[in-house]
Amino acid sequence: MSLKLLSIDGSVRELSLEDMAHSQRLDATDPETALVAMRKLNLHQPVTVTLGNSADGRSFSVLSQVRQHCAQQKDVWVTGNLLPDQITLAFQCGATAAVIDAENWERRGEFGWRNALSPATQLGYRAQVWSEVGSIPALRKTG
Amino acid sequence: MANHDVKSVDVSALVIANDLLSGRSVYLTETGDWTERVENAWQLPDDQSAERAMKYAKTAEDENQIIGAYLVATDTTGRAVHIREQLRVNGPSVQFAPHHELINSTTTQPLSDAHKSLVDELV
Amino acid sequence: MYQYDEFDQALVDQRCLEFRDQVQRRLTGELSEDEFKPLRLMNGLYLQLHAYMLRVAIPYGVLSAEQMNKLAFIADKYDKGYGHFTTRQNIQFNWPQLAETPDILEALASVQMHAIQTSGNCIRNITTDPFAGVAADEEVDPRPIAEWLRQWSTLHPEFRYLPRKFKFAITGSANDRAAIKLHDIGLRLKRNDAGETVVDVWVGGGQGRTPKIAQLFKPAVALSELLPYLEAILRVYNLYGRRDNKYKARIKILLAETGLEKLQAQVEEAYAAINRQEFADSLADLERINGRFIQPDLTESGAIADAERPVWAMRLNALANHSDIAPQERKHYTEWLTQCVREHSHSAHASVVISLKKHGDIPGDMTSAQMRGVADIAQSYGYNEIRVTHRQNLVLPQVAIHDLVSVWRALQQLKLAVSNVDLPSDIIACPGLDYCALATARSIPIAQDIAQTIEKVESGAQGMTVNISGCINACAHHHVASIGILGLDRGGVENYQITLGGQSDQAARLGDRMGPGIAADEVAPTVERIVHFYKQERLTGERFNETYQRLGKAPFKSVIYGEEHVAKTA
Ligand code: SF4
Repeated sequence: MSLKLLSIDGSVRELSLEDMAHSQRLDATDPETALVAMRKLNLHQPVTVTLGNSADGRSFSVLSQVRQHCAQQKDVWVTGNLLPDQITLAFQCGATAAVIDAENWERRGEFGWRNALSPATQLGYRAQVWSEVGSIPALRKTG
Repeated sequence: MANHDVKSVDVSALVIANDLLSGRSVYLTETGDWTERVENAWQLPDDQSAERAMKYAKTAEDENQIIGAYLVATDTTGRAVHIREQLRVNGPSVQFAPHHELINSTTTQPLSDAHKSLVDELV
Repeated sequence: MYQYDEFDQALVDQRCLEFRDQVQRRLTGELSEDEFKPLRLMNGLYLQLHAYMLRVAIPYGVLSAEQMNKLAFIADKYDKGYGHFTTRQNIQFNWPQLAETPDILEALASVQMHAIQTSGNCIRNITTDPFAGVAADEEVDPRPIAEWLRQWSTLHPEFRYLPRKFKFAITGSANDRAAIKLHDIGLRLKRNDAGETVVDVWVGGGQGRTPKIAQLFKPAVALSELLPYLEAILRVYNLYGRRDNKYKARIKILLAETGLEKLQAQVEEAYAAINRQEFADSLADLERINGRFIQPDLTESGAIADAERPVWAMRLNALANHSDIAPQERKHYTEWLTQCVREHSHSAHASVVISLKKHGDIPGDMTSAQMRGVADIAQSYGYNEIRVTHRQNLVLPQVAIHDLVSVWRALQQLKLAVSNVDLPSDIIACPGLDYCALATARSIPIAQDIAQTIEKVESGAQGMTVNISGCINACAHHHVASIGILGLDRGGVENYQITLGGQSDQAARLGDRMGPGIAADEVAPTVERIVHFYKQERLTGERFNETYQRLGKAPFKSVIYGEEHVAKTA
């Protein structure tokens, strides 16, 4: 199965399963286990968080904490049965790229996925985009 | 919410839905069209016809004409059995905006079409 | 009032563009209803029994005259000439067409309004005291803090899909007019000994199927700590609130099932782990927001505050003898002053409550003509400002005392000089089965019936509240009314359950269920008997709930069901 990696800077590339093998996995669909496992992550290695379905907001609380815990780590990716709206939020919670399978990529089309990253879509008061890698304009942080 | 979607036809039934554009209640007719006039609704005497009607409805949903179609039980006169659907058919049981034209008649505000039709309704 | 800055405006403008695109894609069939529904709900567009319904946010219930005029414009152009004010201090339009809703959102954005987060499992519109900033008994003005929280919670990426909707209420006064103990989080602003603002955080109040009074979760939180602390509560709730049963998904259930101490400990742990850097600017943000609140210049009206504040009751007496009031008008004017005019912190001003409860009318409904009229009054006499109350009325927060007669006359023209504020006919009623897709019974006709039935007997029953919900969701706060009425469906017939003795203020209390439900046409006569019985039995100065507490349930049950029935079932 081929995979696409959509990064926060808008770039898209093919991703091999080997690429994925470098990344540590964390399953946010079981938040309690995920938050315990988070403490054992190697902080110097990339991490990929599997998000639950789009209405399961627990994933965003897990992701926010992973982002904070792995503050030194550039690559925090998300995967799962993703929707564009969901990755908008995932980027705002600190993800740097989304791993999307080919079929899902086709279904929403490149426009749909890229739109999740457009500066306009990303507007928000509390959005915290991981800006070292991103090209998203500064967002208002009310907090 | 109580489930008002009937599963099998006792006396008779009709299919109600909301028009996609206006959101108004509409009814399936025998020709497979949708009407806002309940008297033109297709009265479904049995489970077979109900099943057929719901298939039409499903197609209309897929074609984005209507949303939220379901079967409504009706009595021998074709009137919805449950009060919820009686209200859907007849509109709110209360007169809204009763002071509207009363006060507006003293102002020079132009009336919109929607507003005019309301005033017509009230007079 | 708060004035948007460029960022605030860009955000609502962006939402309009996005929604226009989404509606377009729905109309062309690119989006299915399943895909579109969550998107339209995020913009406040529901599908009700007869049509779409658009719920527009009125942040903390504050409206300018210009905004009210825009609501009137929307009511005329896109709806049937009226709107409905809700207990969430919002307004609902009952008849918009799908294709026109992007235009409505644009019209709203042109006056700094929106419909964001008026639906869905997110943080909803934050409500507060309708007399915020003007009440004579206020310690801290809650509006800037409410705006601060609005910005923090708007499109917060972590909290867009909570287990269930989440409601905040804030008050800065010891007399709670915002029902903070009936919200997921209630905030009570006060001053500490050093004169700094601190916040008591109450958690776990709510109504619906399992009504609960909030518990004091953490007292005296400093403002610098408030947002991180709230973020910690929301994070714990988001992670551990139940998602398996929507009736058990509110934070009140998490609190009940986890226990106060344990939940407090979980929140403390989450709070300790919060990245404080993210909140480093939070007080500066509050400062910025404060700077964008335009406060009216109360000297503009030429009204000068007295050196010594006169006693309010005497003040009202004096006002009633105004020379412009003809003798035959005096009774009505005096009634209006007593029922609808409230003391203001500036002694040359008063606040005017506009009842949207004319006996026989639909509680909370207002025609476009009335909206324009009220906007005019606010422009001429009210420093351009209007508030929406959770009791579905409006308030002109500041009117110079010397303008009261003119305001009264103008309200009379609009059929809005209705002197029943805080009387039993000042009913809260949700839309019920006349509009609401979730309803089990009608509430509006019952409210109309009650108001007309008790009009003659209600005088003097000050503070006695009657609230009617059309289903167990309790949007009309029936659990916390002196007389609460809940409409149910009993085998296809509307049936109404009565509770007595509830209240929503600082001494919040849930009403007691009296017994089996009664038929629709029995409700108004029953309420009339209860009002009558109270007036007959009360001791001097006693409020309804005091009388009820003193006498107990039994005599009231007899009043409701008759002696015989009670004897039989005892
Ligand atoms: S209480 Fe029930 S009927 Fe009334 S508005 Fe709420 S959901 Fe609808």
